[in-house]
Amino acid sequence: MTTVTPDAPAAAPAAPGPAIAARLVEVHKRFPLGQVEVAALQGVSLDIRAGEFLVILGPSGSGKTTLLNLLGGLDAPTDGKVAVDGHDLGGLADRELTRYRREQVGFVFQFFNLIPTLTAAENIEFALELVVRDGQRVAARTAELLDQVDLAERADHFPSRLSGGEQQRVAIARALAKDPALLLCDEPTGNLDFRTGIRVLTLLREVTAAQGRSCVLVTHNSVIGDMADRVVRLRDGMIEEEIVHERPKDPAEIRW
Amino acid sequence: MKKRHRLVLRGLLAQKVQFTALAIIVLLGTALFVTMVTAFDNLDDSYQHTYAELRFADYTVGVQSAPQETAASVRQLDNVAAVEGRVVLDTGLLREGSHSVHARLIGLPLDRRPAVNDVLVEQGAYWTPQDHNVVLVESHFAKFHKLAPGDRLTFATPRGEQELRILGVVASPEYLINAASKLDILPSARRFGVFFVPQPQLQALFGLEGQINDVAVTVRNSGEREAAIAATEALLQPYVLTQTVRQEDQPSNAALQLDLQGGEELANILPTLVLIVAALSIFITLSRMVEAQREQVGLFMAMGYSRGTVLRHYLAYAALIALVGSLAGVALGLWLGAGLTGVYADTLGIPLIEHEFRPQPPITAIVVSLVIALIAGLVPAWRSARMQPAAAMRRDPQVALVRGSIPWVERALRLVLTPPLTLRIPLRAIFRTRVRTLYTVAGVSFAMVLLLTSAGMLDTMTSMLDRQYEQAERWDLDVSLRPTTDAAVRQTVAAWPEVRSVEPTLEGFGQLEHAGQSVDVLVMALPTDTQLHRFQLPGSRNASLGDGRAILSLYASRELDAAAGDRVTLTTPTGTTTLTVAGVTEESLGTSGLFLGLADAQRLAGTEGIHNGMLIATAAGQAERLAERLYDLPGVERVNVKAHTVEDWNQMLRLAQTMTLILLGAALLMAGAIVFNTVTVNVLERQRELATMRTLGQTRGRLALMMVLENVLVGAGALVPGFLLGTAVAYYVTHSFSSDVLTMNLWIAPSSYAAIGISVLLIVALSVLPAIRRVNRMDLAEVTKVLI
Repeated sequence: MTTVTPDAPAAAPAAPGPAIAARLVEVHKRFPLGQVEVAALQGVSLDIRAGEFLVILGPSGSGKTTLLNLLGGLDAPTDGKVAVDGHDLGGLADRELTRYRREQVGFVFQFFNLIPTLTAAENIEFALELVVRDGQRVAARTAELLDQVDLAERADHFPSRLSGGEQQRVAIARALAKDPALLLCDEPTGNLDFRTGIRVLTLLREVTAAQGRSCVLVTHNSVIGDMADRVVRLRDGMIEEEIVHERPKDPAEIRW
Repeated sequence: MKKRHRLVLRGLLAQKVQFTALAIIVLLGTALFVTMVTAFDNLDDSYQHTYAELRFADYTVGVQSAPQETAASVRQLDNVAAVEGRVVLDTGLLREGSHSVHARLIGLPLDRRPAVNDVLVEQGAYWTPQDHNVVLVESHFAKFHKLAPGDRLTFATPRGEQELRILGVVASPEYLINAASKLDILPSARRFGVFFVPQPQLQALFGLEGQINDVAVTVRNSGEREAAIAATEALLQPYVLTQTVRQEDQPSNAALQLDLQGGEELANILPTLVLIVAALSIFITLSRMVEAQREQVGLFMAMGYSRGTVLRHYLAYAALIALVGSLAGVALGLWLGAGLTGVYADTLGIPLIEHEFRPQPPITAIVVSLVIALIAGLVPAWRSARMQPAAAMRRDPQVALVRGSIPWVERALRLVLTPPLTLRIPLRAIFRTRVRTLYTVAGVSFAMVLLLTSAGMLDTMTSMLDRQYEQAERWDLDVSLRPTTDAAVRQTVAAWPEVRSVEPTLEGFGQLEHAGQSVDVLVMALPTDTQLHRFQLPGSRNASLGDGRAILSLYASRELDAAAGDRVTLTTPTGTTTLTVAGVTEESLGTSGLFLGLADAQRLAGTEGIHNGMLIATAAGQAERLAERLYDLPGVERVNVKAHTVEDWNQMLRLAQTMTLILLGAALLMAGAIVFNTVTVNVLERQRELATMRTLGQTRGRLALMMVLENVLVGAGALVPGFLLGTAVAYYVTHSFSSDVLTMNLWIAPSSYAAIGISVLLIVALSVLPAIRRVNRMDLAEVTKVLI
């Protein structure tokens, strides 16, 4: 395990090693809050490497969700640059941002956010059909994804008939449907019990490692950091600490 | 302010658009109720006031001829308060060389105002003993013919034509509606006028010096009126009684009561309908609001608020909607009611208008609105109060909305159809959120009920005239002849080149009996092969007249519970006969009637070959000219021009049509509010779902299209139940206006259905737009993170 302080070069861009999936350079984000302005991020610079499992930890208000939103194209920085796959998100119009979300990034939410009127399979198909027009390919890929998250038998169930863990696994399958380079997870275990949470984390780890995509996971739960390739701890909108795990733990080994 | 109250207010502010829409629904319902009830209360007051001021007779007794002093004897009878002995005569009024008006001349005292049935001078003055050859004209006639004091009128009298100078225009309690008789279903100043002449002059003109033929009486105690009538009849018996008319049977008063009754029904049925719709809308909105606020409810309860507090919170919200809506509605209703009273009084010709504030309608409106809103809010509020706090906070309301498995309809359709994603997603949402779909269908259907009811009333009124005068009555002129008229008159008319055909008729009155029920009927005898009157016989197309077969009007058949094949007994002044009902004619306009073959009627009257009327079909555009010519023929009493009758009906219906148009406007506004409410809730309660779709990469345009499609498709699905429910309610409302002179058969034009259908879908589509704008502006990051 290597701990790096924010001043050290490891946090700076262009570090040697695998390709860079996403990069934040001197990112500031300020929100107006009534009469005052709140700084959610204050000059954050961060590289996310291809195939990396990055966990962002921090207390409430530290800026971790803001950071995730910027990466997902749901928000724009006040200052600084957010680039994914070499493209500056700041320069994209709404239509291009929509396209970016549709094709390059997968979201996993704390409350799963499955479309309640669609079955498990259809939720996945919905995301797939935004990028794939061939019906047969959509069906085949959906089956494959359901199989991957071990829910093939629950394909025709509506979210109301799925447990929380199952719903989150469908959400992960949906996020993976378009085979995104970047997987963004906001407290994916926040609404799950321990056992189910571990199962979801195992799945996330698997789909990241096996398919060479990057995963950014935001959580309050510092134990989850043990399974990450790298942990970034935020406080007051700044990177407080960065920890690189040379041998990240298997999700099955962690406890909370 | 208590925190809970603040919460209600905040909830209200957060949903101000929906709150306003619901309050508008309540406002319209209460405004409609207060307007109509106030107007009819005022009218009731106004005519009662007019009757009291002008000393309207409690009864009149007609005699052939009695000495004038007899009135003084009647005055001596028990319970008699005042008596006026009068001469009442029907004659022809000569105007510009035509006999086209039926004039009723009534003698009034020369040297004083009448003790009973006084007149209200609206223009000019009452006469003085020095005035000669003068006349007071009843105001309906004066208005229609634009007559003013100083104008002259010529009357036909036994002493030749007599010119009289108009001294004044007056209103009479006997002619607030200027009906010549109870069977005059279409009182029109075009054909009938009432004229008051100094009694001595009238007696002299008609050779009735010192004689009267009508005694008008007011009583001290109306509870003992019948005894006074009996005593009066006994006293006048030697002078040959012709008819006794009690106040309630007096033609103008009876017609007025009928009008007011119809109006009162309208004043009750329509606002009730509107308030029911308002209640259902409040129920639907509150149910969904409670469902959407489960987390908040759970939180309150977790913080220690009691179930009672939660219950009161939602009930307070419902009560506030009712209170705001009904207070504004009452204010609007009182203002409109005063205006409407003036319009109605003017149309009906009630001269003395009384505006008395009655607290009851506003209080009723507010209390009923409150009760309805509380009932509508009770179920959702109760449901919210029964939630377990933890469960309420934990459960995702949107996920819980879809239960079970894929509907079988959808499974079946999936085998044959795979619509594009833009259509597939809305279709799935429709089939799978059945509760939401049903709520929307219900909301849209309720809105359609209001639209169809008003459109139905409007169309029915138009079709009524069309059915009667384009389909049933094929004549252009309806002529009344004196019974002694020579048959040669008909042959003369038939020979005129402008006349296409002539049919003899025989009209009279009778009483019809069947199964213990009886009804007074106008008997109309026609040639069995009549071409000028087409019966409307949907149930018995082959029904024909002759050989003891009769056709009944719809009203008479309903009153007698008689149908085709039944035997009915007809009693006329000349005898009694039994007839077989051949059919029931569904004519819209016309009194309780019976149609007979001419030969049958003549046999019953014992006068073979006689007739007292003619129906004439003329060449186009010749009717009015021929009407004038007809008066020159001997024996012609009255000529009805169909075009004039239709115009009179249109005039009579204009007020009702205007009222219905206003109602249609209100219905459209309400429909808009209901649909807007329903659709807004539809979109807003799914913010997270929509935000998720946007986050997954769905474009704003496609998402908007999907939402419009979904709601328009549900709206289209609501058209069928809406049309069915609306037609049923419209049927009930229009039929409740049917009377013995008016059969309201509901007719809704296909174009009205189309217009309503298109309007509703348009309102649905437009209602989605503000909600979509709000969705497009939402913070995706924020919305996808919370349970809403």
